[in-house]
Amino acid sequence: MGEKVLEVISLRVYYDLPQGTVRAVDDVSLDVRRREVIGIAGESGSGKSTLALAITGLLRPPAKVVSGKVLFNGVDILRLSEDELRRIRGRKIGVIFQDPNTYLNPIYTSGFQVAEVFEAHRGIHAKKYLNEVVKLFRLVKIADPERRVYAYPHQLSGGMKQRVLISMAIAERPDLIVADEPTSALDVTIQSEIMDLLAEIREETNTSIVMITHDLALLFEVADRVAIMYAGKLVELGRASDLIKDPLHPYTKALLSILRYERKKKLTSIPGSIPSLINPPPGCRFHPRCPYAFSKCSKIEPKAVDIEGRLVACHLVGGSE
Amino acid sequence: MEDELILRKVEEARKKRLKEMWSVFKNNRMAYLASYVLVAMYLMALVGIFITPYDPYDFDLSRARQAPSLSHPLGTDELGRDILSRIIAGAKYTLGISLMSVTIGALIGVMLGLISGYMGGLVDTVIQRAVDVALAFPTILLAIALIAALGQGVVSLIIAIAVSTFPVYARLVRGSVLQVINEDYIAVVKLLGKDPWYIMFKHVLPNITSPIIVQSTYYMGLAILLTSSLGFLGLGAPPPTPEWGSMIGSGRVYLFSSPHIVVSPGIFILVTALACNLVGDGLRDTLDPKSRMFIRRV
Repeated sequence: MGEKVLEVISLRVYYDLPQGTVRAVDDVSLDVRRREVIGIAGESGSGKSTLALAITGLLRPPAKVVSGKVLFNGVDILRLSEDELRRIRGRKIGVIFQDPNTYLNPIYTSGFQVAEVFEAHRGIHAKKYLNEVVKLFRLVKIADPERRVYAYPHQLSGGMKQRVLISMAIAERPDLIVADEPTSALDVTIQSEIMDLLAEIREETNTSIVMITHDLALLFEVADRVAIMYAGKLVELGRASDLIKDPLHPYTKALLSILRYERKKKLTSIPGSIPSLINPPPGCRFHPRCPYAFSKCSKIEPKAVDIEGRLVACHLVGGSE
Repeated sequence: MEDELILRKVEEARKKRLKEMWSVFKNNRMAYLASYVLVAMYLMALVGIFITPYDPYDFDLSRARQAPSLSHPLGTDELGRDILSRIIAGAKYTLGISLMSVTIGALIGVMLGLISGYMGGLVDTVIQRAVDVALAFPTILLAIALIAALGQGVVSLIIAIAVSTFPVYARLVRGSVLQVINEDYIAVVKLLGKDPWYIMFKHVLPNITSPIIVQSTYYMGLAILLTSSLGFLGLGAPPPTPEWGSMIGSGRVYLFSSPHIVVSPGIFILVTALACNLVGDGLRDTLDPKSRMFIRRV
């Protein structure tokens, strides 16, 4: 395993709302190594997007960091000024967003908008970079790149637009790419193409990728390690192959059983719904929905324990303290 | 070299795009035709004084109010001046006043609207309340008051019309800015660290050109009419300036006995205003990539 590119240390991000404080990310620790694809999965509202925003330094009020660090190449991103962040974001950390349709300005050609990224970081006029844009388009497998440089967003398909956005994210060969649901807005066939593309880019540019999604099937295809989040907590983190073979946390088990749903069988779901993050249940946050819950679960919050390189936060596994 | 090859292909694609834009404009037959009419009108305004068949100021009561004939194709007015000559010589006033006033009004209004919509907060409130005050005056009343204060003349006319048009631009642009400002692509440019002026002019403004162009072409026509209304009230271009609106104003007394005095400049005003509107429509369709007719995937 290579050195750590990104290290999240017991991060807590809360949202101060009139209704109360939402504990969106609560004591999450995570590390990303060079050339690694790490997937973060969870239901809607599990805090995975908030985590992505924190990593990219995009948290805005009412979100506030209560404690913890996000170390990127040893520098705490959360302590940087907006100017310093700008020098890192886009250059060292690339960001890919969910819906490619809204992130391109409809009145400019796709090539110009990619060139603008170069312009912003290197300060020479955008036109000078058309060469590099074409090369980037080739890298993200846009057919006929010389012509596509002058194509407007509405002339491109959704998958093509996502490729353009990916080329913007990797323009400066970042050390880390944060992809927040990069395929949710795309067709199923395009989804796997984009995933394959990201995996290839990892091979070619030696970048690490943090992939955030609720699409487990896609995630397990490309991710080296997978982190499962539930209600702001990291419940399990481990190698994708281990996790899929032998899930330890009951929540992971439940998620995977849904994934393994077979034809003609009734679609299963996890009973209950994700708890309010304003008043999360005491003890383990999953215990109201957990089929294995026992008395300890509703009282004491389980600590994450390391089992052969996997982190699991459950009273059922690991030694009882 | 590979780089050169890429650049050559890219340059070809760029030229193709420009050609496509031009062909879109050309395909809009009416706009294409109207653009020629407008060019002809403005050429007339530029060289007008040199090509008039008669001196536009030379009056001769003995040939007053003559109907159109071979020697005077559009007839003569109440003082015996050749109407065709006056129309040709007057083009520079009418077209100049409308173009200048709309341009100035649009520039000020668009600036205020952009700043107001983009900055928001106190700046927005101050600008918009000022616009409220300006909008509260009826256009013609405001123009009359300004001309009364500035004195009669072409420059005061331009200022008066510009002042009475800019608040509408400010309001219109602000509304459009508010629609665009929350788009994700604007957020992306902000994150790139571009300064607010760059974002305003390079990313927000081009997205809201459609309403501005439509409004401007409408105001080009309106400015000509406003000039003639002021001329009617005796506040327009001072006589004997052969401004088209003033010509209608002074000829109105003879509307029933000698309609040609009023009809000829009227038709020129109509054609110019119409041409402005048609060219505006064509421009809007050409400049907005989404409404271009060749919508297809490349």
